Amino acid sequence: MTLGYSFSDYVVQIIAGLGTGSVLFLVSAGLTLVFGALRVINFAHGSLTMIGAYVTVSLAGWLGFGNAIFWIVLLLAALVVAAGGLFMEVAFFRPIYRRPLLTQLLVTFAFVLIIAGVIRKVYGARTRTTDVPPFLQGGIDVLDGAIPKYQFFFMAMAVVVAVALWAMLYRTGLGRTIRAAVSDPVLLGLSGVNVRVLFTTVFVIAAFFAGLAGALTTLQGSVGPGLAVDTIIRAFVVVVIGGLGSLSGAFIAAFLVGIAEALGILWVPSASLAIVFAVLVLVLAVRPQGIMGHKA
Amino acid sequence: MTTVAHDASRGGTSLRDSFRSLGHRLRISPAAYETAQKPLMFVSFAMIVFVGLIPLFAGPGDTLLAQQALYLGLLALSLNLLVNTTGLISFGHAMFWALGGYMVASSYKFSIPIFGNPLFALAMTPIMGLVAGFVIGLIVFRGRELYFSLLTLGVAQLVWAVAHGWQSLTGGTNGANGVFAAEWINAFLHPDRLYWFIFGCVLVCTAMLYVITNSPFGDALRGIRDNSRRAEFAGLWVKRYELTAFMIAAMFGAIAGGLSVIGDTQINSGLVDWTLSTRALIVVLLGGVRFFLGPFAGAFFYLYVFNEVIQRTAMWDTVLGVVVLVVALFLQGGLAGLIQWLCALGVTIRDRLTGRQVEEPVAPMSAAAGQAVHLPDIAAAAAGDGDGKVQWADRALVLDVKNLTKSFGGLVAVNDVSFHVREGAIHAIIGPNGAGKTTLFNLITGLIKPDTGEVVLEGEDVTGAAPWRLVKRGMGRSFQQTNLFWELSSLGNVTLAESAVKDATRKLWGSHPEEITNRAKALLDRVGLGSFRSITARELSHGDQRSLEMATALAVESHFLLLDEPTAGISPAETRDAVELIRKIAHEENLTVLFVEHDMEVVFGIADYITVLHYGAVLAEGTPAEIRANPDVQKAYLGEITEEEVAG
Repeated sequence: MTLGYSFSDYVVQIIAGLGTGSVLFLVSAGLTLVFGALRVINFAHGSLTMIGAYVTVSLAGWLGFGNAIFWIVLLLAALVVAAGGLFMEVAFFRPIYRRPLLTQLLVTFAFVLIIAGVIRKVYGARTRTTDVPPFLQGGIDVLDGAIPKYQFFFMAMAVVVAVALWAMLYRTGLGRTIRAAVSDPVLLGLSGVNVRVLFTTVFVIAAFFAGLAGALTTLQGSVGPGLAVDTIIRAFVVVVIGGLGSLSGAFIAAFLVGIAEALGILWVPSASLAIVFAVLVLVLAVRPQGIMGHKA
Repeated sequence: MTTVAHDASRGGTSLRDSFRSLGHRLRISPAAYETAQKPLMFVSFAMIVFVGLIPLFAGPGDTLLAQQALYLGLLALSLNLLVNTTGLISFGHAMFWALGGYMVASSYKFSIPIFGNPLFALAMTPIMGLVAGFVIGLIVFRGRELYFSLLTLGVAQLVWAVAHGWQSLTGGTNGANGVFAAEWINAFLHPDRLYWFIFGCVLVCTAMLYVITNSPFGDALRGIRDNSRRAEFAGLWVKRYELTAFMIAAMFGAIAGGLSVIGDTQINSGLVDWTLSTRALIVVLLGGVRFFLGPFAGAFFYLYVFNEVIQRTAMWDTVLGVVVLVVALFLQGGLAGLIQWLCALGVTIRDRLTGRQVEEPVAPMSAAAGQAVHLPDIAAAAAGDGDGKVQWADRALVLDVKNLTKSFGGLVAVNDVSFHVREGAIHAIIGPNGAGKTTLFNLITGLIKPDTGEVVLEGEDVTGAAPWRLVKRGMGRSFQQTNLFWELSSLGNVTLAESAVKDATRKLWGSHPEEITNRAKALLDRVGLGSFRSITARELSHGDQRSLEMATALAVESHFLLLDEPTAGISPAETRDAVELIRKIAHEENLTVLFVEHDMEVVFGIADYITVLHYGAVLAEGTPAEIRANPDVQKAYLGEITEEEVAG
């Protein structure tokens, strides 16, 4: 353990942590919404993010990654993943909502395996990289260090998505039904809402943001087959710390985890992950239902 | 096909009809499964012998795979104690394997004097597992269900991160390699001896797990899986049982890990990451959770089949994913379930061919058929409490509720409620919908904690005490919605309740004491369920389920029964039965009964003291006659009780 970092080092690291946390939020927001409404914890959510990343790599390869094209690629990648999510939910998740927890977990986990194999077949086992669009190249000086521009872009995206999701949940009819599903799916079904369609909608929205997060991840550097598992495990941590089903909890926890991870890299470089899990265990030991979760 | 269907419509014997009749004739009855137990035992035994002899005819490669299947199977088997027996899904079971493994590996690496002997270290892995299971259990049991699963994943990741990062101790990704065993089982010199050594260890562990799974303790775990609330009201300290199960699973997981290091001559952080935890779960699923040796079937299948698949295709994980998907969706019994089904099919075919009649289990008759058994001596009961004025003020207090208040948000559900229940009384709590009756019950029975106020049970303050503690003090409770161990037989329900309250379920081996099973049988006879002993609770009629609940409440030897709407949702005929049953048993056992009831006929029929709740507060209390005459009560109930009914 080497301490003796300057104040500037900490600030730079914390800002980088906020950037990582932002992408993490995009993934976790969907995961937590899906859990809240469908009561299924989707192991394959990280795999959706991975698909988003690889699709972005392909699209950027064909179309280039210019300033304007970048936005189109982002949207396309997210839409492709949303379409994949639609297929997954309708074909495989619908039959398992009433099955035991173990079946649900293993069915979603089966998709982690299936997607991992297919991606490796298509893209090979080595990591892939894309360019960074011109307007996001370079860094911004902060104290003695520099922070890549895309980190700030991530933060902006996280805030935009958070506001959009909030507005959707609290200002639209769809949002009201989703919130009703989170608090009591059975009652909602009895009150005449088509729960099946609602579940599919929620799942597709979640897949869309997972894909978007995957597309953004490509800016950070390489994309490899380990992305799915890496993403889902950290997203689980975020969602559990924030409280399953809570969007605001996921928002807070994503940044908490991002910062913990970034500081962990300073303190114990070989085990920054350990710090993240230590945070998880600590938070849950104090508040088993998570920061914003409701007591079961 | 169309012609066949056409023929059928003309009345000829069609192919489809004969198929249908064949299907019907080969329908596998539960009895066939029962009979299939024997061939299944035989198959299991033959398999064990076969696995034990593998080195004699298989090459070194296959022997090594079998050996790996043995410790992977043991890991999965110990996980199944949580997954199937207790109903806890751990996503981090590999952490115990890792701890056991590193224990054996590091002992060798550091040549710590005593621990320098890897076999001694192996012998210590159970203790390591128990301790780790206890400490980690304290953390992960902070969460329930899914939170529990995710917490196990989190802690396992923490353990893994330490193994990964603490290079000097574990060697990180490079890990440790070497012969971690005595010379006589050196993996390179005597692979066969090593195999038998591991086979022997695994066999002993398996036998121990078998005994534990089938012990009274195992019954308690199954009860908890089935219905943890019911378990708590049977007097089980659920958390402690779950923690114990977790520790036992951890112990055998650690042993499996220790064996793996000796067998594989290596350990590194890549071998013990979360994929091992999920592999164990997949193996459990593939093998079939319901059959004890299923996890071993799963482990052998997994290792042999995927060894082939990996050699043939780069998309091995896709293949595995599809297999998992298919098994999870369509083959819930797993491989063992398939074997079980085949055995049962064999039995059915044999019986059809030999014309032997398969004995159908006794069909659960409705309560109506058993009414004669139920009907107690009403006259005797009435004579007991009908005449002389009971001097209630002289009786001892069983329950003393003082100024109980509970609000949910802005709603004050129970507002400063005080009342007593005196010994031997049949005390009713009535009140219009939303009066706070069930909340009051939940406050008294420790399901929720009051904001202010006290609950005193037989002179002792039990405010907010856990249900199982109250049960041990002699309080039994039934619920508004029937609450039983649904998958257990009637006898199992009563036996478990009785065993639990007497702490007989702490026994990790053997079976329930005979006096407990005998008393349970007697109790079932008492409530008229004597002929339904082996029927699972789920299959009983609703009225019979209510009777079974009553028997369970009696089994815990409670002298103070709390019944939440004992007649809710049952037919008028069954209601009369239930009421008489309550009256009769309360009288014979000298029980004190506190009950909530909607049906005024029931209330005024059996209660000898009534407390009326209205908007969370006590509106009136007194004998049935006093309550009838009370104008406030009449006002509160206007519309529910008409004048005539009040007048009696």
